[in-house]
Amino acid sequence: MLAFGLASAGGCARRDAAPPGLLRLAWSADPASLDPAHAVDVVGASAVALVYEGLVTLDREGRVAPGIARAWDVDSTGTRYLFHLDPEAKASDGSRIDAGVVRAAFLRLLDPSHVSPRAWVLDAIDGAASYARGEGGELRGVRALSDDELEIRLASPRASFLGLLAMPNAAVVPASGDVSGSVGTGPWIVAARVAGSSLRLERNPHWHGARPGFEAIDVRIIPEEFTRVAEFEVGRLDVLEIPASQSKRFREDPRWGERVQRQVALVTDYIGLNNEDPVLRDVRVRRALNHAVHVERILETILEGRGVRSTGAIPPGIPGGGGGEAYPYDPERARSLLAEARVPEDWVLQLWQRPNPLVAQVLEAVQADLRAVGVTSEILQRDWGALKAAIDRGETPAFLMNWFADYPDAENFLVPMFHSANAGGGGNRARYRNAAIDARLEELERTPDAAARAEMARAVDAAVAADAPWIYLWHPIREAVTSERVKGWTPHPVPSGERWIEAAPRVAAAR
Amino acid sequence: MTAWALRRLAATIPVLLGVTLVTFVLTYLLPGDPARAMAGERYREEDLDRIRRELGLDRSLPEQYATYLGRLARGELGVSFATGRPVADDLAERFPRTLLLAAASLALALVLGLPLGTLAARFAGSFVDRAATVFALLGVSLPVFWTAMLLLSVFAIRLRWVPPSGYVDTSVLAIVLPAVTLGVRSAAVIARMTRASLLDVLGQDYLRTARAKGVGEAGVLVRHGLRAALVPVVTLVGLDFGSYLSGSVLTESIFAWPGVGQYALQAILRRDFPAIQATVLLLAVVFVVVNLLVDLAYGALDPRIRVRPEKAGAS
Repeated sequence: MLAFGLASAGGCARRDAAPPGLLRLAWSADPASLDPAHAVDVVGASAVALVYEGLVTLDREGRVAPGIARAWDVDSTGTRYLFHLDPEAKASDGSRIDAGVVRAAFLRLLDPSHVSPRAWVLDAIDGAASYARGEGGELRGVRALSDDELEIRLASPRASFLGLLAMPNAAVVPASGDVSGSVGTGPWIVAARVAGSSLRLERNPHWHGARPGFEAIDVRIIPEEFTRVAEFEVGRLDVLEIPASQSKRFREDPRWGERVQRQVALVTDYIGLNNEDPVLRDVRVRRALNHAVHVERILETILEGRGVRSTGAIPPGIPGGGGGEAYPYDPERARSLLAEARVPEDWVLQLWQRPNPLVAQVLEAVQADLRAVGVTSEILQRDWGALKAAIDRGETPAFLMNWFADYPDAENFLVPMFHSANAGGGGNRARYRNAAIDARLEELERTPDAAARAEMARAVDAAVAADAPWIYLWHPIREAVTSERVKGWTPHPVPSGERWIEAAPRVAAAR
Repeated sequence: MTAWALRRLAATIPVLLGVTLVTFVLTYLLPGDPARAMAGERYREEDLDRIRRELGLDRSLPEQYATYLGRLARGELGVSFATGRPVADDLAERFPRTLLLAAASLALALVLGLPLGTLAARFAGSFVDRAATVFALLGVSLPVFWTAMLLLSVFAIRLRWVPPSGYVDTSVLAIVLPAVTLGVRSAAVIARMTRASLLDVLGQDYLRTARAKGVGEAGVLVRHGLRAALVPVVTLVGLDFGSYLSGSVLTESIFAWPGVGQYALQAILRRDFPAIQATVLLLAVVFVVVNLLVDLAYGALDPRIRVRPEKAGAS
């Protein structure tokens, strides 16, 4: 902080010159692959979303919008989708993206010899699961009725199917199968790449959608947060996601204050509790832990207000999210519940975390709150791979994690995280099992009407929260700032929905 | 000499084999597995099993090691679990970048450290000596990340003399900050070692003889004194160069220098076994070669320890 203060105090005004049509971004890691079938992390998904397009996309409000399909019909059973493709949809090599090319892309994602870890995205399609297992046969659920019409039949109604199709994994690769990114079906193509260092993207000349405001994008790979902030400050980056430690400084700095944009992210941060743990399987203990932790105080002090207290798993901004009541801070109630549950005096709760200084501070505060109600805890830090493996194997009594929306639908939060079939690696890290909730979640998946789904989702979320499978924390507020070279941009609610189309160069006024 | 060098290299093969075995076992002992890393946040158990089968991770450890050695014997380093690219291609791209940074850091360290150490020895006990000592203490005491952030803040953000990060393809000046971060630390140690070694040498009779023959002070110091004093410094330089070539992970990450260090870190976090194994093997080979060059340098600097084939066992 001191270093930044000193450095910013009297910096000269030299800016790195860049052509007006060039947008300069930084990512924290190099995408391992530009293959939609293997994009499993945020950076990979963001990269794929720029170069490939799916049947549908997500607009800036997070709603499903046309992509390669300009329109679609869904029958009354909710199992037959008919997509009308845009006849102007072309790959960057000029080849037409017709129904046959889309079908081939889906077959590729499900190909058992290709081993895509995201084949489950298309699981709802009739025959997809058995095809992906290598049980042979045709993928009967996807048929090209003509060049412009693609029929998809589902094994059973799935209201979130269009949201799944908007995921980068379901994006359409060109007919040639080239997944290097140099031939794309989306708004950009990869013009140059220096592995580990940079990526240069240029407009896809044949893309059927609105022409992006910028002509090219330079993405630099900068792993360290501090360095990304430095690059933005000296004018070598145009967009910066502001780290929590720099939030106040940027908001109060006259150079950037007005260009800082805040948004409640479609993310939920939580402390998962292993519901199969001998002590934690008692709901009274889990509720007690929720009453013991002063979440509002942590939000105010450690996060400096960059979060919205969560009342359930679904963030506000997703239909069904943001309602209900949070667990009130009530240490007395916590103590009484713990006494009622006869928690052993020598019980030590292990709190696991990834190596992150902010998370460490949060857990230290949680530890102090737990100590105040007589619960001893210890904090363990593990690197991401080890932490995930331990959680998936059920070895972690409590762990601080988060969940990002793949698509803005309540189902994307509730089903992976609370359906018993997903216990472990499927997303239900707390290993929460409740047959009644399972049935309600399955009904939610089948309900097409948006208003009814939202109500149902809200009710299920509240019912699960009453069972306290987690210590509920917050939905983080993300802050981003743009340089003066950029206009017309607002952050996309889903990171992999960002395609840098609306952003445009702000031409400087003549002096 | 060539025969000696070849014999030395041949003798390292069992060492390298040992390195591959230890690395292999250690990577498998790491908690977390590559199949989970590739599967991402949400997966089905059957997908995990399929990924393991495709990567050959479902076979026993001895079987996997035998396959690995067979591939190595054919000159193949394997395919990255994460990128699907041959690891050899990844390393071939990144190693020259680390080499460039290592060379620049070393050059800076020598240009700074040798003259400083020489002056400190020549003017032992004076202000120059004390200033050099302070510099050396600071150089070795300051943590790399602190030095890096300080340099970034002052020279990149405040003064805008150099870019904060990146590789030389975006700006030639991008090498300055990482090279200074690494080089300053080495310069400090080289300065101290040069001073100590030179002080030892400066009192020797043969230097008195040189002065008596009319050799100027500069000639005494540099041509006669420093050359003899450099033997321990060469050891240090060799060790430092070897460690730079292993890719200074912290420096490469802070300055976004896309070298072997960053690659190794990513490989470990992703549990990318072929990449981890290949990188460790590369670094072992690098250390072997650097040690060989150091031994040859000894002979060039000091004829008394010039290596002869019949004395190979003594070195």
